Amino acid sequence: MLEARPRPPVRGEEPPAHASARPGGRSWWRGALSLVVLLALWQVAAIVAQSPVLPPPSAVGASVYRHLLYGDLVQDVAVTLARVAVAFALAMGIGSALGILLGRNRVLDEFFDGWVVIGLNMPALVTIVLCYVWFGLNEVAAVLAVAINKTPLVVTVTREGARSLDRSLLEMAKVFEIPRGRVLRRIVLPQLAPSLMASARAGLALTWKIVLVVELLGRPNGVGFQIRSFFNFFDIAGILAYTFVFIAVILMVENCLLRPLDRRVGRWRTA
Amino acid sequence: MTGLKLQGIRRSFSDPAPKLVLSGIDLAIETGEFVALVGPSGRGKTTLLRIIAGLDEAYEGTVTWAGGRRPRLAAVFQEPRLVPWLSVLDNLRLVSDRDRDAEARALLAEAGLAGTETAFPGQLSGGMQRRVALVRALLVDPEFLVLDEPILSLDPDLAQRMREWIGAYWRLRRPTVLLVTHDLREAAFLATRILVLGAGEGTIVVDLPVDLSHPRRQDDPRIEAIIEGLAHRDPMLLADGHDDGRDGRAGRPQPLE
Repeated sequence: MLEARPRPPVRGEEPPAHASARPGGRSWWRGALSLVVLLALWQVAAIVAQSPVLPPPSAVGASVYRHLLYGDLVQDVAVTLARVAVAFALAMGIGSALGILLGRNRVLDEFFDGWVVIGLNMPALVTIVLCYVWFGLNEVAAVLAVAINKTPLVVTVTREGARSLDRSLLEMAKVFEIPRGRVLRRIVLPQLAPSLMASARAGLALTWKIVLVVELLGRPNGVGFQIRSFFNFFDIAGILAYTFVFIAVILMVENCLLRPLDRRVGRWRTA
Repeated sequence: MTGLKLQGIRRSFSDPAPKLVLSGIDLAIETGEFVALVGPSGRGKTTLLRIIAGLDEAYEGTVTWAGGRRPRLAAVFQEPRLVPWLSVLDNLRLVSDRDRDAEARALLAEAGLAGTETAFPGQLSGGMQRRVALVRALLVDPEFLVLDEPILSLDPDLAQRMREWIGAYWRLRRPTVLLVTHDLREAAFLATRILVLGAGEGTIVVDLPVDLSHPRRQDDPRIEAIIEGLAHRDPMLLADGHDDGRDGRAGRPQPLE
């Protein structure tokens, strides 16, 4: 009888939206086919255009090979990834802490809501330029600029999750005087996991794109810096080579780190 | 010794319509008493219990604990309130510690729940979840135990076994217990004192000591006499209300005959 009573929806009980898009699903060959078609179209366009600014896929492939073997591709990707990782971690840490705080405290939320809106609408380029001007053309400024760009997004998504925390469990924790740290780890964070995962995914894509701009504007290494060098020398094959390698690396991070984490977090739902 | 003193407790709700639920509750509960708070739905039983448990702070009046500090409290709510993503044992570890696992397992076994340690709450039946909730409350060895309809909607045999278990625990450890129930028989079977919240007034209209020794027998004629006496004073007490409607929600619709 009691079980039949409708429960308030617990955030995170809905299955993750991408559950059906698992790698290795039954339509992998369609994805492969679509890639092949894209490459073919590109090849045809390059043949028709006969222009140095549109190199064919084969030239880009050769460029990847050359840079991998004789160039700084691996180092540049590693440097860029490191910047992505640090900025990403900073933004996730600070953003989710602020998000929980604002989601649980109405007064703070009302006060800081305007700040968050400004942060969300601040052009990335402005933050980058200002950070370089204020903190100098250094690594701290670069990473900080990226983190500042991404934090408001994490705050918004986490705040939404924190607002819909299950009140009955928090009451239970209060009656039993469960220590705060334990409540956070075992009751609050698991409920926020879907929001945190969502902001992690959105954030990763955003972060690496901004990191390239930061590197282009003021760093002596990394993928963004190299792309600027190629631009100066009109080496379009080089630009595309670096871009595709980096996209591949980011997709690997997404598939090998974020998705398994997502599934692990949702394990109790399917048990 | 007075364990808990309530003075002039008033509480009103404005949603959906302004309503004064408690209008001046004065009550002293002695340490070690087993108090049952009875009355049909909507009389503010759960509201009073939430105020005592510290979950409702929007009241007027004072709540005073002996010694000026809140005792170690444990509660069984109307719903089990287990954490769905933690196993049964991890749910129990929330309120105790890892080094008390043996105690937790022993209590689970006493509740007929041996072997459920690694199950998630969603894998258990409603009755089993309620028993886990009771185990969780007893595990903290509470000085003050709050029970809000802990035995609601269990099958009669299991319900009686849980009542006997609660009674046995109380005899052994003597915590102060506040049991909210709509079931007069349950109140008379367990409590050393029965309080009735009046309809409309929002005050305690009956304060009845129960001088029967523990353990009691279900078929004790004196229990029957207590029930009759209470029902005589307030026939509404025999109505089968399940939900206290503390959020202003009406109870569940009754099935058509």
